[in-house]
Amino acid sequence: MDSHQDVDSWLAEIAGRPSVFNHNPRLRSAEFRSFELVNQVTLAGANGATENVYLFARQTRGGEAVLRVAVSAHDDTRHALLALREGLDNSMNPDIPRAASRLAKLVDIGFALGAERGQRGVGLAAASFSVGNVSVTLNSVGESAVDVSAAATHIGKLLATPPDKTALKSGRARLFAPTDVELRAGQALTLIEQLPEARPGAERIQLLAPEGEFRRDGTALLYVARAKGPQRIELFTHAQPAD
Amino acid sequence: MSGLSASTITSRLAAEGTTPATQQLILQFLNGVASAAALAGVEPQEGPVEDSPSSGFGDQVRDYDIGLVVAQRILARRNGLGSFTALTQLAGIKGLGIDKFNDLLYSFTLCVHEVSGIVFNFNSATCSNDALNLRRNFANPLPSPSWTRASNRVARDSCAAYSIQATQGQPLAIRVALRANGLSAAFVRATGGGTLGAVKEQLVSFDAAGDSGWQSFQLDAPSFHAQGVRVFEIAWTWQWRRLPGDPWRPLLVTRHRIYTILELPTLPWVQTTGSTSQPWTDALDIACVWANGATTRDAAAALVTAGYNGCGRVSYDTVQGATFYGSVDYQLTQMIARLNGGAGLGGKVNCTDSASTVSTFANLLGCDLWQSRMSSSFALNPMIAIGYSSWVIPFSGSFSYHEVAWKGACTSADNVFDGCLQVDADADPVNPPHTPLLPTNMLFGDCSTMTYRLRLCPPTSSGCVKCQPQPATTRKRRPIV
Repeated sequence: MDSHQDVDSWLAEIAGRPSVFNHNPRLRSAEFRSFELVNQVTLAGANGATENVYLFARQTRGGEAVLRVAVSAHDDTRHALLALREGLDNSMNPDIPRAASRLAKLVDIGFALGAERGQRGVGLAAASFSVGNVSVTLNSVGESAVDVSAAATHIGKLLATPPDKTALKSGRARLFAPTDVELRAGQALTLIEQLPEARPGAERIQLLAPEGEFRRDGTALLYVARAKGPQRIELFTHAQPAD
Repeated sequence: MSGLSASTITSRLAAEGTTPATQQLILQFLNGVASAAALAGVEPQEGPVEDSPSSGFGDQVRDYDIGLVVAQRILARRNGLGSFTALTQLAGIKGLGIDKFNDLLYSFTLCVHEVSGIVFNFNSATCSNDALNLRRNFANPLPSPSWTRASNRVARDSCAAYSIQATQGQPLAIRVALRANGLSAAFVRATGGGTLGAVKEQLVSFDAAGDSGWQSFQLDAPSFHAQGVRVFEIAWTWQWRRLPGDPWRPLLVTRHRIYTILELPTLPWVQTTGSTSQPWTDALDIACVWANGATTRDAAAALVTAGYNGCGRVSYDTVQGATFYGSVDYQLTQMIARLNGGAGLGGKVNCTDSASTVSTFANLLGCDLWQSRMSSSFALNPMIAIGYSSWVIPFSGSFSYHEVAWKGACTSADNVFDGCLQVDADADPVNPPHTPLLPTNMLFGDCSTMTYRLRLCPPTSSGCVKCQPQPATTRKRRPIV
């Protein structure tokens, strides 16, 4: 797609949204019911980031259905949007529309394509979006088409929303005491001096704030206030089995 | 005959002054030989055991040594014991008398008994007299030496690649390490070798420990140059003899996989020592089959394009036309896995994936292609996308960009190889009927003559006119991963 999308206009568009940061986001082998993880590869992504690509497959009457999911964590929201644009720029379809409905509400910027004619029961055949510092693409890449909409919504929710009560109660996710701070507009606060190495089996660290911006600087994680006043920052960790 | 007694064997070994090393060689041979036929060889005087000319019965000229019946009895004894640990365990084997025992001693007392290693690529700086620098794939180098006694069982374990252009008219050599027992020198050769050639006879010296060190051997009249790109397997039957007039005695058979390519591979492939971009045998296994028999760069690139387009393992992403095998790097490891029947990064591809695949595999054979784009958002004629059989105009009738394997400067005046789609070959690509044509070595051209550009795009302001080569910003060879 020859998008020439303006990342600055995307940033302006999402300026009022809550801020999200995910460190070491990964998918589990059993992430999607009835699908089996058949390959997982770490690639060099845009802007020096790494991209984890997952292939989930299941047999259908029409042949093998394969869902390809690529997840890439960047330093900040801008770099995630740059990666999103890079993916669109390397797509030959010139008309990739913005995502609508549920997915659009969950994610910062999203694009989605419906299935081709004749593929009954398949709503979305491709989706690309960013949530905070993470860019995600989902594609149906098998003989038989996969509706990627449920998987896209699932991942969008995983990244953008706090863990549910079940996850917290079971210990799969932990909430740390919220950080309440009073900052000036543009003031940066170091939240984590040394982010742990991103690797399989390590926890996912998720930070949520009603405004402002999270930004990785080397190994440190900063929060930059957008406006003057009190800010509440929530930090969760999510257990991720190494599979 | 009821065979030898243990005491006779012991006294015979003492009388002959048979060294522990010789006894060990005989035991290794008897314990390792696969069958009675392999032990006996073909009488007279062919096989691992030779008739001793200085003792025994008969006329001592082309006389018989251990035959099949006695060989079967020896192996039966071995199987009963598990393995031989001393030569006295040969006692009591019917038919194994003093003459045949002498033949065993004779055969292993003075002998070349081992090919320890073979090196095809002994000069990493050049490839005019030896093989190219290779590796198995991104993650794994090839073993060095290419062949060793311990590690090689099948031909694929010992690979070598030769540039036809670089070696044309040049003497080719290999390096071989051998071991001998009790000999200071012997003649060694290998027969067979197919179009790579036999290994010429050469006098080899051995040190006191029986090691030859690495010895250069010339290959005898290699003839692969006329046959173009190929992958083939060879067997060399190694033989030795003490004196020029002696009959040849067998050592062993070694097996190797040989790739012949047109010229030195071009980028992204390099010959730099230690680089992960040295030619991969995993990629050569595919490229040499696709381009089998090609004798020119254009023919090789065309065959690679056709091989990829018809591989049946990938099809066009008709939804998004997204790049799946890398826009920054080319995920060749994953593409090879896909082409070999694995999951790879999925069964969908676009033009970028196709351009990377065609150019990378073609350049491995010595072609000189680039990945380069044309843009932007131009209208299309009907086409058949890779993996499909029907004529369609993709998406809403246009491509945002298209990428192909391209020659030279990747301009309008240069030819393209497009593995991603087939265009209409007739004089009117806009309208049916359509005749499929895979664009191989097709001039990109302008909007006034029937070239690739007008076969891809209609002759309109939204079609051909907007389909402009973009070499300044997009001409590249993606690094391979």
